[in-house]
Amino acid sequence: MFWQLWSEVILDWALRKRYWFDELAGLLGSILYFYAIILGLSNLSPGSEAGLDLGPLLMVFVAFNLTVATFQSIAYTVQSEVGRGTIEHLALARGGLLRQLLIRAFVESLSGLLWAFFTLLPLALLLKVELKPTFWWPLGFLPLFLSSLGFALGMGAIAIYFKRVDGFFTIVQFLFLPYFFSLVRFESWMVHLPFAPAVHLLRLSFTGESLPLGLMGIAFVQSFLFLAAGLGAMAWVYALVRRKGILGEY
Amino acid sequence: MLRVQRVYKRFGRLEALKGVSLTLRPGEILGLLGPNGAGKTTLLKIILGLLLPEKGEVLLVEGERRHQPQGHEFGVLMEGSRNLYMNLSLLENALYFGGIRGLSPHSMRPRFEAWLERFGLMNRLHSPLASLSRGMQQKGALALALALEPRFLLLDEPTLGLDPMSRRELEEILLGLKRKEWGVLLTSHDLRTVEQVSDRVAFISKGEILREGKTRALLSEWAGEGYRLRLGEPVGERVVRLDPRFLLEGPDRLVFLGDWEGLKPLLPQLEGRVLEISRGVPSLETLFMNLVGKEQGNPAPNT
Repeated sequence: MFWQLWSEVILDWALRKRYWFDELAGLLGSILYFYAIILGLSNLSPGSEAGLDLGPLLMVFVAFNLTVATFQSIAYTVQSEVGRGTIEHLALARGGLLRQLLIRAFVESLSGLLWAFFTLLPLALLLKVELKPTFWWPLGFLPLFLSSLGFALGMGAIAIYFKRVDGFFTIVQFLFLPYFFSLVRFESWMVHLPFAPAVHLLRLSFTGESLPLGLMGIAFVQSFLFLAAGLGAMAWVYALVRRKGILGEY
Repeated sequence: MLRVQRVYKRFGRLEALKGVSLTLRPGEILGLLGPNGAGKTTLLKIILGLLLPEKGEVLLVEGERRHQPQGHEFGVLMEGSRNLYMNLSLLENALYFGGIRGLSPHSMRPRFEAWLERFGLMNRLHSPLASLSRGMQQKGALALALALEPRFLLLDEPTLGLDPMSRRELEEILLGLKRKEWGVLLTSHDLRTVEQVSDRVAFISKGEILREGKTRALLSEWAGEGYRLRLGEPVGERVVRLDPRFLLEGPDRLVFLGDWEGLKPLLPQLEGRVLEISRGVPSLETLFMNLVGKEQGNPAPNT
């Protein structure tokens, strides 16, 4: 399994290196996107940004970026591999397609984490937001990552069946943005909403709070449920497309 | 040994495979021949686990042990340009596809470079695939499939895009693999290559294996004693209808599967158009065209 992971790291690096201009533009776009939201708020209703707590808002934006990057990784992998005609070779990986997609999603999420850091840092400096990462921040990140992975597998299942899913993903992305931002003002009843406990946990882990065990438990249970559902959906659809003979069809 | 047992596959109303059974032994090259849409690629995909059959199974039998093979146990060349990433170099492709099958770069790179050297492509090791010609891409994909060093190699149209020299090189490579105890399943419309390298051939049409056997045995069984006739003008199917032992090999060429005593009384009916008669057996291509052509309702070739 190590060499499978290594291959994905090398592939990710090779593609980022080859298309470095697009990578940089994407990073800059992400920074400008968030900055434009804050700038827009202050220009449309002057003073309103003063009522905003920018720290949590920034962390939720990072969580949104991470989630979207993860869920797109599997789905877009499926879409582009089918388009290139190489999906069947990916399915010949040791352990099969599902394992290789998970490994790729893991690697791309790690890249996403690095990218999130490069987004977070300039924004924090630009907006003068002081972040206080706690020693338990990886525990704050893990449930969000697992939930995103589960969701990504679900989206991948849709992509593996329907092949071209850009339009659908745009809808999901637009639904996610207001949903995630509504989690900035977290209330106790929100704990059962999808992604909510994980997002809140990540936010707390970067604002110097102590580890809330109850919230962490709920976040992990939810993330494992997401993961199990995603794995189940992907395995079922993968068997279905192999029965119908449409795995490699575009 | 790779064993395909009574495999059925249906796509909607189309019966793609109707109880196909095959075996492929280590150190053997099996040619799978059939017209477009006969079910060759479907069968290959079922062996690889990329398609699930309605009935039947694929097994790897090793002594007492038998198990369903996993895709990574095969070296594969798919038909067309569906084998490699166009925006990566040959080396990057090799290391990636070797890696996802569990091979380290240290073991994959020298093997891949050795095959690439044999195909005369070492100077293109770092070239993006998209910058290579169709034939070079095919050689790169072949080098990758070979560098994986599988026990069984499945090649779907491996000679596609290859020049005659490279085709000859591939034939030598395939013959060399037999000595290494690799099993090779080869589908190709290049029947000359199949005839040169395969130990056995199976003719498939409309999802059914029509005939299967040792290549030489099939040729001699069909041919036995035979004669080649060159005629003064194209004859069409009329002559073939004279006697079922005639096979049309070209517009003005016939093969007669039988002895001289059988041929002699038929010669007058050819109305003196025979320019030349020589002893000879039909090629695999002639057998294919006649066997599969009849099955397809197209009894004889016109080329």
